[in-house]
Parts: sequence; structure tokens; C-alpha cells
Amino acid sequence: MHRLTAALRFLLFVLIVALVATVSLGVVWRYALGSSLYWATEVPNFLFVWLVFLGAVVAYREKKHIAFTAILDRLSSRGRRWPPVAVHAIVLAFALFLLVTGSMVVWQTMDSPSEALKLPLGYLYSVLPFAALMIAIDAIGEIVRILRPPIREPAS
Amino acid sequence: MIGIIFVVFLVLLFVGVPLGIGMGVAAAVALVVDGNYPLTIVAHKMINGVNSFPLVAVPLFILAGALAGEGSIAPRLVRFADALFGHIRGGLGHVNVASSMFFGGISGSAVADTAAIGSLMIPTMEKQGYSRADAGAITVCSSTIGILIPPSIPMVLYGVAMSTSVGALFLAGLVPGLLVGVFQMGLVWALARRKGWPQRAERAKAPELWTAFREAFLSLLLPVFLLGAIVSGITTATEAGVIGVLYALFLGGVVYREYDWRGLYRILVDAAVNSAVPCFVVATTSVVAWVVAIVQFPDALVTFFQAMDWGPIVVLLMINVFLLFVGMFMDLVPALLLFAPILYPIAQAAGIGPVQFGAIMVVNLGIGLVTPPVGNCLYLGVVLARSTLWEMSKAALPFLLVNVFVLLLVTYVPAISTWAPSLFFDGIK
Repeated sequence: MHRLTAALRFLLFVLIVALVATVSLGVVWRYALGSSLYWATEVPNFLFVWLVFLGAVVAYREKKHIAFTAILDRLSSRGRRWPPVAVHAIVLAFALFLLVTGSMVVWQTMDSPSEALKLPLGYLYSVLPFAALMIAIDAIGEIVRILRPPIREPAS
Repeated sequence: MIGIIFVVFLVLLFVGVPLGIGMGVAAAVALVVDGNYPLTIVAHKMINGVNSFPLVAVPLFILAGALAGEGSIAPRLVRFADALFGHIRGGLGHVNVASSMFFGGISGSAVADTAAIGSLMIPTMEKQGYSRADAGAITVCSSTIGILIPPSIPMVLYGVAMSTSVGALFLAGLVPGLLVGVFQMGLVWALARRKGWPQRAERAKAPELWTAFREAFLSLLLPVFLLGAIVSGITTATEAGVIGVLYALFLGGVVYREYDWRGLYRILVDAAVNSAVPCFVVATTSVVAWVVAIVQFPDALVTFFQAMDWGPIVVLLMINVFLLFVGMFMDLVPALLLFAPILYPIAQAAGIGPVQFGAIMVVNLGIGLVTPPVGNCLYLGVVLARSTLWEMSKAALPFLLVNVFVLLLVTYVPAISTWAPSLFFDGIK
């Protein structure tokens, strides 16, 4: 699991570097060379969409999403076990919903080309079912981790 | 449908579901119950909600802020602020507020400001006799300046949601941000005697001031560059963001030589993740915003308000009280994206333009970052200052009243927000 996070983080590194590079290129082309790159907004936009959804996966794995936990924190340790299970179950349900509907959208848009590069828009949308799948896997992992009975330390 | 969305969202919020997911679930449930729209619309709206070039400014400004915060740029700004203001009664309190004003010119996020300035200033303030709660409260309250002085991530989000010029919105925040800073410094001065806050023994001598200025000069140049590039019409806000990133990289990497590859890798990836968190909320909130628009909820509100005929002063007061209440319970990003399109038509009927309304919303919801029970800056400040939520909220109260005062000024005096942008853009309201 840890290796998957590291791989996703590397992907984010590539995306943000590419984002900075392509926006910079757009600026340079326009002001130094006086002509605008025809893909100067489309490519950064696509990279950014990918960055947002893959970043959301990593944020979920690293528990960085903003949530309101003031009430949960007041619960006793016995009562504390079930709300997180419910939270991860809700996240899992939404992820599965996005996996299905997102895949449908990818399927529908494989024939519609993007404005500048004429790439199938399905490539752009495909990050959604991919991210949803990643989040679903992690949500199942979290639920299993919480519900599995704790391993007893051997008395020494 | 609106009712279902709000009930589902609130229930999920209190159970502890992450905001972005809660928004998406609420919209999806409402669409399922309604049954008139294909469910694939959720996926469409989520992707297209973030498929926007102005929004690309968000990761760029977060990255520029992170590069500046990790290196020596923040400490340089603090040293310069200390040389300038450290001798005034209340010493480090002024330095804290002034540092937030300088840092706000580089970073566009109040949380980043709290983290960068707080970790530098709070320990020193404590040593000089500030209570933990006071040191933390000054840090978090002054960090609200960070989203007013350009660049500002909330202004980018408002501009995207409302199709308003981000450059004009940046400038609209400038005067309110300076006002909050100046008034908060006035409050530090007034409180210093009663609270026994010290100042440095003597005014910084010219050589010290010069050294501090020289060391901070290249960092201070960055906000000047950014603003200059935007207002002169050379670049869009997004392009200015990339200039900020490259400049911060150049300063930290080439001039000051303080990044190593491993650290740089971590800064870049963390900036990507930290941008994804609010932008994922943008993605799911845009589904809700679409639902709100198709049921013509804003129109219904306008009709209702027109029938009530309360007059602009009362209507604007009601909008502000409502937003302050929302800000207590809801994070700034979804509140801004959700309520800007709902409330703007009412404000417009009361004679407010889109740029001024952006300033009103960002000043207002900025206060929400510091008010309990939900306040991102407040929570971070409590951790940094090792104080308690209650103690720090009490200490923050007088400073928040300053923000409320500026909010009233911004609401009822249009020139405070529209004057600066009207110098560079046409038809600003």
C-alpha cells in the first residue's frame, strides 16, 4: 500500500512540473516570440484536472481532506470505532458511483475530440474512474483495518 | 432538491465525511431522488468544474507560497518587519501583523500564512512574555490578511465561479487587506499596555534597517512583480502564478541556495496535494451549484427579497450576518463557491457589483477561518501555540471585531474595494 502512495506521489510530481513548464512555455511563446501556442491553455487544463483528482486520492490516503471531526473526537473510544467505518463506507459508495458513471462518460466521450490537440476527451475524463477506483480500494482497506480484531501482543 | 442537498450535506458533515465527498454525495442523492437527469451529469460537472485555466492559478500560487515558506524568504520578511516596527509599543505583535502583510503578497492562502509566520513568531513571542493564546490569536487573525492582499486563492475561486476578472478581484482585496493590517496593529498598540507586551529596547538603527531591507529586498520584489504583471495587462493571474513559482525557485535555489533535491521533491508533491484538496471541493461543489442554478433557486430568493422590500442597507446586513454564520460551520472554499452565485443576485438588486461582492465575501468568510467551531486557521494556530480552542477564541475576539469593522466598511463604502481595480480596469463595480 505504501508503495502505491509513493507511485501516486511521483505521478503528482510529474504533473505539477509539467504544469509549471507548460504554463511557462505559454508565457514565453506569447511575449518572447510574439505568437501564441495553440495548446497553451488546453494542456495545462488537462494536466490540472489530472492533478486535482490524483491529488485527491493521495490526500485521502494521507488523511488530508478537510473534515469536521469536533463531534467525533468527543466520543468514547468504544463509540469511536463505528463513525469512521460509516465515513469510509459513504466514501466507498460515492467512489463506486463515480467509478460506474465516470466509466460511462469516458466511453461516451472517446469520439469527441478536444479543441486544440484533437485528443479524445475520454482521456481527460478517464482520471475520474481511475481516481474513484483508487479511493474505493483505500476505503475498503481502511474499513478492514478498523474492523479487524486487534492482534494481541504476546505477554512477556 | 435544494432541501435534500442541504440536509444530506449537513448530516454527512457532522458524521465527519470529508467536505468534498459530502458535497458530491448530497448532489448525487438529490439527482437520484429527482430522477429527471442522467446520473452521468455528476461526472461531467465534476471534471468540467475544474477544467478551467484561471483555476490553474491555485496550484501555482500554493506552490509559490510553499517555496517561499520553506526557504528563508519568510524569516527575511519577519526580520525586516522587526527592524521597521519592533520598537513600537507591542513590538512583536506589530511584527507578526506586518509579516502577514508582506507574506500575503507572496502566498494566497491564510492557512499557509498561519503556518509560515506562526511557526517563526509564536515561540519568540512567548519568550518575550506574550501568553500562548495571545501569540496564537494575533497570528491567526493577522493571517486573514493573506487572502486579501494579492495574490489570493479565494479570489481566484470567486472569479472562476462568477466569471469575473481575477486581476480586478486581486486589486479589490488590496485596500481592505491593508486596512485590516493597520487596524490590527492599532489594536496591538492599544492592548499592549494592559497586557504588558514588551517592545525592543530601542529603534533599529539605520545600518540594521538597511541590512534587513537588503536581505528582504529580493523577496519583497516578488509581490511587486506579480501585481505589476497582472495590472499592466501583461499576464493573466495564472501566468503571474507561474512567474511567482519561477521567481521563488530562482531566489531559493540559485540566489540563496537552500533547497536540496529531496526537499524540493517533497515541496512540489505536497503543493500538488494541498491544491487538490480545495480543488476537489471545487469539483463536487460545482455539481451542487449546477443543481442550484437549474432549479432557479437564486431567482426565487431575489423575488422573495424584492417582495419584502427591506432596502439595501438591511439586505446587505442580512447577507453578511448569514455568511458569518455559515463561515462558523463551513470551510471557506465550499461556502464561497456555493453562496456566491446564490447571494450575488440579491446583492446586485441592492446595487452591489460583482467585484465589490467578491471583496465582501472574502473578507466575511475569512473571518470564518478563525471562528470556532470550524476554522482551519484557528485549529492550526491552537496546535502551533499549544493553546486551547477556548482560550484562543477569547484572545482572538477583539482582533476579529477589527475584521468585522473592515467588513462593514467594504460593504457600505464601494470605493474601498473598487478604487484600486478601477485604476487599471474598465467598468469595475
